[in-house]
Amino acid sequence: MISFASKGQCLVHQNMGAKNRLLRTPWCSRGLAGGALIFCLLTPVAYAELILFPSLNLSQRTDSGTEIDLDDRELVVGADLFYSRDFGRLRVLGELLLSEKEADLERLQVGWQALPETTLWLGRFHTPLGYWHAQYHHGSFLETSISHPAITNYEDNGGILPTHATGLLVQTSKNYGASSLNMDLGLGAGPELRQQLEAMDVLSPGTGRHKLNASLRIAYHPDALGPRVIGVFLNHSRIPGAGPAPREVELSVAGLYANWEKADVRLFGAAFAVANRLDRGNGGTEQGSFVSAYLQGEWNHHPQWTFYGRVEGAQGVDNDPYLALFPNFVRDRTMTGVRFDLSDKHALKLEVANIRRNRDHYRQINLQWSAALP
Amino acid sequence: MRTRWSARFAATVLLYMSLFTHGADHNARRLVLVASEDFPVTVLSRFDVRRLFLGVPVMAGQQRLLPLNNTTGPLVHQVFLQKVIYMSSQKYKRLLLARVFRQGGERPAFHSNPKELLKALQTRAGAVSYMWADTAKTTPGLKVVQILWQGSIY
Repeated sequence: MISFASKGQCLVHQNMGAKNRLLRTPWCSRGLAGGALIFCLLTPVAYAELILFPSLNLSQRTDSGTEIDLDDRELVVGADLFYSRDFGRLRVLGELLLSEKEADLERLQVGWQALPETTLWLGRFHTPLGYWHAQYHHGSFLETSISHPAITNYEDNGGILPTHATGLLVQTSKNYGASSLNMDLGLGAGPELRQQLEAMDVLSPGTGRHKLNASLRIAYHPDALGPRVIGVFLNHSRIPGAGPAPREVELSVAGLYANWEKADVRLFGAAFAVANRLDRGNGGTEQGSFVSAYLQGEWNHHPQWTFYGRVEGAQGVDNDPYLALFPNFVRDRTMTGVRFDLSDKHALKLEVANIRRNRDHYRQINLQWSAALP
Repeated sequence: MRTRWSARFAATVLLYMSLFTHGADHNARRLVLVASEDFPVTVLSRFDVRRLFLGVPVMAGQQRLLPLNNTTGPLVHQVFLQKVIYMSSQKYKRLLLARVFRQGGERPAFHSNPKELLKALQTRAGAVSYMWADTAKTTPGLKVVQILWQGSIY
């Protein structure tokens, strides 16, 4: 249900979920977003990038006797609209994700290329946290698999780490012969903890309480132009709680990741060590820590066919006070799948997974069509 | 009889050699990097050419170079990818897409119309492309910056 508040805001009732952010932003911000969209559409495409990533995902689940709160069958239609353009040294990019579940400006960044290898960004960005976010963002077509490792899920998809921040992002790289060292430093407003983590809405920045989120990622590429990489990352954030408890969560993440490719074979993975401290608000605090990791292997058997599999798991999750706030967190998953590239712009994927969450266990078959248009 | 067979054999060998040699000369091609004749770009390293066409910013003085892919002929782009970029067309397109999605900016444009390619080279600041040397030689308003590859195509 939608109602209209006196301050010119269009609000969505809580029972509709907190997803459709565009619908509850002030009219001026919606006007700004509309204006930006019109500007994108009117920009000559020859001098800009306007890419649509549509996807259609069908899931079929079978549980193993325990009751789960998921539908047996689910069809999700989504589209990710990406826009980018350079104005001399000024660079603009935006990513708008639309689905039945959400409408969200995932990225909105304005960058200044201070040097050819250094860009200073302002806006909402994906925190440089591991490999997956920075590699694929929300472009399903670019991902070989359908599912993400649970530890890399975005906030509004049940993610437990702050994957968006609004503020300053510095990206720089330095070549050493044929190799290069890349560094990403992000400082910005992190998420708020409600029923789930809620990143700052860049179209309605006054909504909620947000505190500093700091990230650092350093990556070494043995071949500056190649896909092989090994990197480390750090993140620290203070997450205010909007509900009765906790009042605040202090989250520290450290990890490493790597991607290795040779001929038709690719292996990549990441490990995250997460320490947390919950302020319960009555003077009491709780602490915990856990480790989560994933490893994905891919075999590009034929230019059109890629077979893949992934194992992911977490240790130390049983009594972790922070993870107790996310009962749907997937603690273990083994999955295998196949991707068929119909053309340069369309792909079909089929994936079978065995999933264990904090409180239940089920199997899932996913079928997805995805594309990158035009 | 023996003489006749020997002569025939020698003649056949000579014929094949002449055909082979003639074919090699005929198929020898040079792929060159070109720019507008009034654009002061100097020779780039092989690494920088790869960076440029993989979407990484490359500067020539204060001017950022703008790479234009040449798909006007069936072979020129394919040879460029194989001999300079070292990847298949599918991988190249996927990599450009992934890079622009990650870092913003614009992907190198693809031009299948020779007139449009020439116009873009002459009007867009910092534009560079590649083409066969003989095409570049007969196209007014262009200069050859460097040879990217030379060899035979069978």
